[in-house]
Amino acid sequence: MISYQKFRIYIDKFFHVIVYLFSFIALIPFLSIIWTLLKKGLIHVNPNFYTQTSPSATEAILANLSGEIIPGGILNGICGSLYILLITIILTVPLGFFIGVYIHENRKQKFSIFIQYISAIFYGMPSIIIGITVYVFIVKSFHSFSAWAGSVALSVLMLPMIIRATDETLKSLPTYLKESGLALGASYTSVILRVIIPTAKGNLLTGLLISVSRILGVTAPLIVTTLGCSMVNWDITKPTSSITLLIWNFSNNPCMADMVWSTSLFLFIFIIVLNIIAKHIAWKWKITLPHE
Amino acid sequence: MKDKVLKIMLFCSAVVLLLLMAGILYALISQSIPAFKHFGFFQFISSTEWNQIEGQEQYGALSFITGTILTSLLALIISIPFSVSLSFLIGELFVGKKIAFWINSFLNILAGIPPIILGIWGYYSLRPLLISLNIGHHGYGIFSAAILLSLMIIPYSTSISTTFFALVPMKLKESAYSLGATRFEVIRNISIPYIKKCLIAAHVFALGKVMGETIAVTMIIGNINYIPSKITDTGNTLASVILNQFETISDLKFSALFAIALLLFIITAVINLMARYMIRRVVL
Amino acid sequence: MPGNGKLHYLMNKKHLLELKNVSVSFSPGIYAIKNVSVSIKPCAITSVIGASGAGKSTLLRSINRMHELYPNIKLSGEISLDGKNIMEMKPIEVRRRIGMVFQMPNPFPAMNIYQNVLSGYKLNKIYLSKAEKDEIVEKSLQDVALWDEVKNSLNKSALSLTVGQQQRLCIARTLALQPEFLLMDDPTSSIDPICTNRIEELMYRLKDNHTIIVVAHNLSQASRISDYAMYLEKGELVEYDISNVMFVAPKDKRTERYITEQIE
Repeated sequence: MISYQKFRIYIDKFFHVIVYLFSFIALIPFLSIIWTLLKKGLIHVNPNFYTQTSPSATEAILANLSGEIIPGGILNGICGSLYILLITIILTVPLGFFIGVYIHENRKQKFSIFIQYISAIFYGMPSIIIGITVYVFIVKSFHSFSAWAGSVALSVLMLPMIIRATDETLKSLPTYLKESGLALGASYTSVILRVIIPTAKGNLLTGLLISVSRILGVTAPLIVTTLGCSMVNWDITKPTSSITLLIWNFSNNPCMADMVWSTSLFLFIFIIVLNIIAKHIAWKWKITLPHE
Repeated sequence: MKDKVLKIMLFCSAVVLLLLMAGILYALISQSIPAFKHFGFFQFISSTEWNQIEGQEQYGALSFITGTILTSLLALIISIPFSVSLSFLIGELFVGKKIAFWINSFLNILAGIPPIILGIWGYYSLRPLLISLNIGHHGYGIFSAAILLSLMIIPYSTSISTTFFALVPMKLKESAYSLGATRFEVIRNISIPYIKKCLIAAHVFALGKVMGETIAVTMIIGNINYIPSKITDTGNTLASVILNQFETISDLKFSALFAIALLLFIITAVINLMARYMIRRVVL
Repeated sequence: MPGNGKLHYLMNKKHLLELKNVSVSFSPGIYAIKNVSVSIKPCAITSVIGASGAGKSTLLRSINRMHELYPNIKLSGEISLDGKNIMEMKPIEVRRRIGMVFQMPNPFPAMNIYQNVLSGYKLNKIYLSKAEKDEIVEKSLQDVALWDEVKNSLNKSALSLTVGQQQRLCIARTLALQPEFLLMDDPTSSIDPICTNRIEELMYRLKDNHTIIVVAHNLSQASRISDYAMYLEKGELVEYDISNVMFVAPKDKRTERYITEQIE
C-alpha cells in the first residue's frame, strides 16, 4: 500500500502530465489549420491574384487539366468586401456610439435596462437569422439581391459590438473626468465631445477595428442578401461579391479547390493584420489617467 | 438647449435598437405563421418529416433541434478538457512566463479565425483524416461538426478561464500552499470553487455562440434531414438547414424555414440571457 | 468674466452666498444634510469640518448643483447668490461663478498644460484671441505659482507634472474662469506636505478676491488657514463661528467632542 502522502504526489504529477498532454493536443488542429493555409495557399500569391476578378468554372477546369495555376483572382471579392464594409461602418458606428452613450449615462433607468437586455440578445443572435430577416424586408421587396442589403445585415450584426465597445470604454473612465468638465460650467454635449471622446479615442478606435475584423469573416447572411458577383460592382443596388462569398463559391465548385486556400489565406492574414493594428493603437493611445 | 437635443438623440438611438428587434421579431413571426398554422405548433416541433415533394409537403423541426443540441453539447464536452488544460497552463503553471505569453497570443489570433475557414479546413483536411481513422465512412456528420465547433469554443473559453483564474486572490492560494497542498489540490479545492459560477456562465455563453453557428456546420454536417442514429451519422442543425435549404421556392417551405429560425432565435436568446443572469449573480 | 474680446478683472467686490434650510436626500427619508442654514462670509476662507459621512462633500456639491447629475438626489431649501436663488439660474452660469476643485488632481488627459488652463473657455465655447489666451494662461499659472515651473513646457501633456503640480493646474484651470467662489473638496489630501504648504499659501492669497469654502479632514489645516468654520455632524450644521473661536472654545458639546477626538 502506498502511503496517502505518496499517492497525493503521484496524483499531482499525473495531473501535470495530463495538462501538458491535453494542451499539446489542443494546439495541434490549430497548427494544422495554419500549416495548411500556408502550404496550399501560397501557390497563388502573385500580383494577378489581387488585380483580377474570379475565374469561371471552364477556365478553372482547363487550368486543372493542363496542370497550370488557375488564372484570375479575387479582385471582385476584395472590392465587394471593402464596399460593403464602408457602408456598414457608416450605418453602424454613429448609431452604436449613441446607444452606448445612452446605456452608460442612464444605467439604472428601466428603459435603459430593457435596452441593455435587447442589446445582449442582439449580441448573441445567429447571423443567419439576421440574414433571412433582411432578405424578407429588402431583397424580396426590391426584387433583387443587393450590396446594400448585405450592408444592412452586417450592420445589425456589428451594432451590438460597437455598443459594447462604447459602453466598456466609458465604464473604464473615472467619473471625476466628466464631473470636472461639468464643474467648469460646460454643457453635457461639450464635455462628451471635448473631454470624454478625446481621452477615450484610443479604446473606441480599437473596439471599432476589432469589430471590423470580426465582420470581415462573416459569410452566412451575405449568401442570402448579396449573393455574389463575378465582376467588380460599385452599384449599391446590385449583387456584390465579398471575400467570404468567394471562398464559399469556390468551395462549392470542385475544380476551384486551389483558389479556396489562397483566398482563405488572404482573408486570415488581413484579419490578423487588423488585430495587430488594433492592439498597437490600444497600446499607443492608451487611456492614461492622472496620478497613476 | 443643446443638451436637450443631445439627450433626445440618445434616446432616439435607443428606440431605433428597439425597432430593429421589433422588425426581426415581426419578420420571424409573420413569416412562420403559415407553417405553424398548417402543421400545428406542437406537431411541427415534434415531427421529423422533411418532404419537399409538391402535394405531399411535410415539414418538421425535430431533426434539427436534435442536431443542434447534439452538435453543441458534444462540442462543449469535447472542448472542456482542452480549454481547461490550456488555461491551467497559461494561468497557473506557467503564469507570467514567456511560453504563456506566446500561447496566449497564438490563441488570441485563433479566436479571430472566420468560421468559414474552419469549415474549409474541416471539409478538406479533417474529413480525410476521419475517414482514414475509420470514424464514419464519409467524414461528414455530427461528430465532425462538433469538432469544428469545439475549435471555435477553445480559444474563447481558454482566454476567459485564464482571466478568471487570475482573479483568485494570491493570499488564498498561498495559505493553501503553506499548509502543504500540492498544485493539483490547490487548483481543485481553492481556485475552481472560487470561480466555479463564472466558469459555468462562460461556458453557457459559449454554448449559445455555437448553437447559432451556421457556415462551419453547413460545410461538414452532410445536410441530411433526419435524426442521426449515431454520432458519426450526418444530420442538420437549425442554423445549417436554413442556409442549406434557402434556395428553393415553395411558400410553405419558406415559412417552415422561418419557423425554424424563430425556434433558433428563442433558444439562443434564452441561453444568452441565462448566461448573463448567471454572471450578474456572481460578485467576485 | 473675460471673453468677447474684452478682458476685465473683478474688482474687490463682495458676493454673498446664503443657504436657507437646505436638505439633500439620496433616497426618500435618508438625508445626507438636514436643514442647513448659513450665510457664508465673503472674501474669506470658510472650512467645513466633520467626521466621514457627515455630509461635507454633499454640502459642497449642492452649492454648484453637481448633485443634479444624479436623478435620485433631491434638494430642498434655498441657496442664493447675491439674493438670487441659484436654482432659478442656469446651471452653467452657476458653475462659472462657483468653481470647484476636487480631491484628486484631474487635469484632462487629452489636453496639454496650456489647453488645460483654458479648458473652461473651450468647453463653454467662448472665443478668445491668441493674446487674450496667452494672458489668461500666464496670469492663472502665476496665481497658482506654477508659471515659472512650466512656462517653457506649456505644450507638454498635463500628465507629465507631479501630483502637486497637477492639483495646482486644476486650481489654475478653475481660476481662469474668474469665479467669485471657490469650492475645494479636501484638495491637499493626496499631496505631499511641501506642495500642501504652497497650496495653502495660494488659498491665503486668493481669499482677497474670492470667497473660498474648503472641506477639511485635517483639523490642523482647517485651523491654519480658515477664517470661519462650520461643523457638520450627521448632516446637521452644529456650529458656525470664527475658526479661532471655534477651535479653542467651541460652544456646542458635540463640536467640542469632535475636536478633542481629532487632537488625540
